[in-house]
Amino acid sequence: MKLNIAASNSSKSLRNRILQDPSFGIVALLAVAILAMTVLEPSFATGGNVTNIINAMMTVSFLAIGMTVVLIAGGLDLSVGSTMAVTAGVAGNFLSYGMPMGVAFLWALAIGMGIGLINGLIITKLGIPDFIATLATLGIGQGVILLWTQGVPILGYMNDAYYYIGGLKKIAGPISIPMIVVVVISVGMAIILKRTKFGLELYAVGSSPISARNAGVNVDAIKISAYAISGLLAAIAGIHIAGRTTTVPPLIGKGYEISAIAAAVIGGASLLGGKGRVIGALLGALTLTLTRNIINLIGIESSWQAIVTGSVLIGAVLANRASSEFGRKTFRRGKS
Amino acid sequence: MQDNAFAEVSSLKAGSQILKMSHISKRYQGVQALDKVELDVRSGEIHALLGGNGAGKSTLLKILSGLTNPDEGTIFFHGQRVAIESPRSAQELGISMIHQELSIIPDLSVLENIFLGQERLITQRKSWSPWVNRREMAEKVRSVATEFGITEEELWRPAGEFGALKKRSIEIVKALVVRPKILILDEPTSGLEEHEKELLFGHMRSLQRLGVALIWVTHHLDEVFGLADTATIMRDGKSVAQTSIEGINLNDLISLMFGSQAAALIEQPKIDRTAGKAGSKERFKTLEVVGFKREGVLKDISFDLWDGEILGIAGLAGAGRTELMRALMGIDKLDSGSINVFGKIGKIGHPEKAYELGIAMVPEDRKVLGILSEFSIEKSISISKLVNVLKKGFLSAKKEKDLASEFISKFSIKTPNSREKIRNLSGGNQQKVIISRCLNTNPRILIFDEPTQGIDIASKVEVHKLIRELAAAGKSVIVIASELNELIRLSDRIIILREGSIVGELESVPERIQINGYEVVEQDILYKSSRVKV
Repeated sequence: MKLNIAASNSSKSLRNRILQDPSFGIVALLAVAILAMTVLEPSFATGGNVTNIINAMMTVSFLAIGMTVVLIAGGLDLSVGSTMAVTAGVAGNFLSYGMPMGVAFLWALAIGMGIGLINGLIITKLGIPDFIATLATLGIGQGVILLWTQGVPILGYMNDAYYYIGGLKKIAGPISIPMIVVVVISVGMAIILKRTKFGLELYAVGSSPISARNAGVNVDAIKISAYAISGLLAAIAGIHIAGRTTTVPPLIGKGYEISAIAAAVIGGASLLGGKGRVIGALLGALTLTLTRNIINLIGIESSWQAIVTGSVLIGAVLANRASSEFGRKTFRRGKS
Repeated sequence: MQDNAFAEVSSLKAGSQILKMSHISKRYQGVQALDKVELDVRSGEIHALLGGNGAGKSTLLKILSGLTNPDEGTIFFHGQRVAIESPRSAQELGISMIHQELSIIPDLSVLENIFLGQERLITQRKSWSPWVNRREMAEKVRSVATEFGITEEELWRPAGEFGALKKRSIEIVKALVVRPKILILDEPTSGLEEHEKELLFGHMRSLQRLGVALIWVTHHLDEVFGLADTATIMRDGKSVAQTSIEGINLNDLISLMFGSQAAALIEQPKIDRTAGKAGSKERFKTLEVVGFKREGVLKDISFDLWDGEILGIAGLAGAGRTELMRALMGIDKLDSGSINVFGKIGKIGHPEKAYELGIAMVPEDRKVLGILSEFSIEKSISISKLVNVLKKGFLSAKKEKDLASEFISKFSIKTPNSREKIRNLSGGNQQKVIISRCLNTNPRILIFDEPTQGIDIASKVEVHKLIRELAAAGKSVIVIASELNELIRLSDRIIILREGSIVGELESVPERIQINGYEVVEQDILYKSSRVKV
């Protein structure tokens, strides 16, 4: 899929291309942290810990990819954590009633996507700002699951297949089904963003909705689709987390919207819209998970976790800005 | 791809009616923006759409390009009745538009901006494929892009990197690349250099020869002659005339555009201005600007300002008019230069300092820079000098109300009451509120940047009267206006800027108009402000 712009590009060295990549800053930050930990903490670079980190980043990865899509379109989805909780509850509950797994999961996916569609419709058709609309559905989602479960965790739904789907059982060596799903979704979404009209229009709408409309883009449809994608990915995260935790406490999704936004922003997405990449979302999820892992390993009191994570967020965004300033002149999103 | 890009449209019979908009009406929030408007356009003609601000041109074009739908009326395209419900349906009919405000999406590459939303039209294929093929797009776009000075390299860069000039070229390429049957150009030359205008005009002519109908909106009436074939003139939401450009002169156009009110606009100031005139009284220098310099924008500008004088600043877009005023207000930092206000010499580093020295500005672009839209009239007026409405250190509602009432009656601001939010007022009345706000600081020097931008003729006349009264009361006034007519009619003295330098000065403008006639004065200013003869 290489674009034929070799003539204009030959002068550009590999070194420059790496330095000018918008994710260079965050990659450099991660590399320094990993290197330091490998030297300082013997238990860090072990196979067990690396698998731990990768498993732990799955949930946020799904949410962060969805959040990135919404952020590119110039929106903000605060409801993802609550949508994840509702769909995790749906999957667990329907399974515990003996519904076939595929059907239960389809229900969860449909409900997740439905919540996304509702978000999109409220925002575009009723003209309620993204922040308010999804804050409201966040609250409604949480309320629904609390009412439904009466505060009692959903359990007793696990079966052998679900252990594989949740990643608790591996299919080969350290490879689990969630890892494969994350890779497939990431590659698929990256292709959609870079190579399809929808992807292009997503960036256009987020960057300048009025100009996009002038150019004949159906702005509302694009925004609604972005929210539907975010809801769908929240449902995938819900199905995954229900399998990983083996019970669904009603507040399972609490705080995940913040992690998802943080991961997307660390990955270069902008709250002003028009910017963001799938690889960035994954790097963001990795940054958050790695921070938590490092805090645990070196034995910092867990109360510090939020403080450190907050500081890492600021640091990562600054690192991003520094690298994008550097590469601004030649940064081209549309090519690989 | 290098072959005749417009071959398809050239087969159309030139001169046949391509578009008829009939009885188009549109209301916006109780305001009749369009009232049974008629527009007839033939293929292969350049059709100028003329009218003052608020005449309804923009609304009509929005309807034609599918951005809004009319309440009433029908549109015929090649004699077929059509509904243009969205920008996409306009595109599919072959209606393309170059927007007045830049419509460039900064985060997309130049190429992406060009083909966004019109992939199918560019490839001429009916394809529902979801993929975008940037390489194919580049092939299709390249030749037109090169003509407008967009290089292969630049096609792949984010559009946000480029200046206004290049962005305009991107828009032109975007409109041309789909081989439109009707091309709408809304103020297409704004911000363009002279040679780029010529390039654009050249393209307009060649499109015309290929049978494309061009609908052209411009405020530069002098451009119309020699280029347009026909003109439709709009006034107050109505189409008042359709005329051939041949055999009509500028004055006819102006009186068609502004109607009976034109007389009021063109009328000489009747207010007794002797107070401010030299001879009757000792002239008093209120402001001395010395050596204003700012890299790439202002080049060593010095001038004086006298009391009771209206000083007009003329110049084309980009000449540095607004930048000069911003520097004077302390909004932009200068590289060097100082001012002398009533004997106080110094620099103005911050707008607050300017207000302290008695300089106040009514900014350009009221909607963006001027009004705090959620504020009431009372608050809007008192905000710049809250000391005036304090009572024992607290804001006094009564004082605010009294202050506002004073200005409301003085300037006859039309509003239900003084607590009305400023955004609910008409443009003219908003402008009066902003002028009131400036006057509340009791300035000795008032700067008006585009004082009548976006307000109707009647309010325009009122604002002009107000400005003259202020000068008659001894204030010094500086006016910037793009409409040369407005500037000339208003000013006592005009200085002309070009590329950041003063290139000319005209003293006693009203006398010059009386002796030499308006046209001569205008020609003189136009000649000096542009490098070419007009």
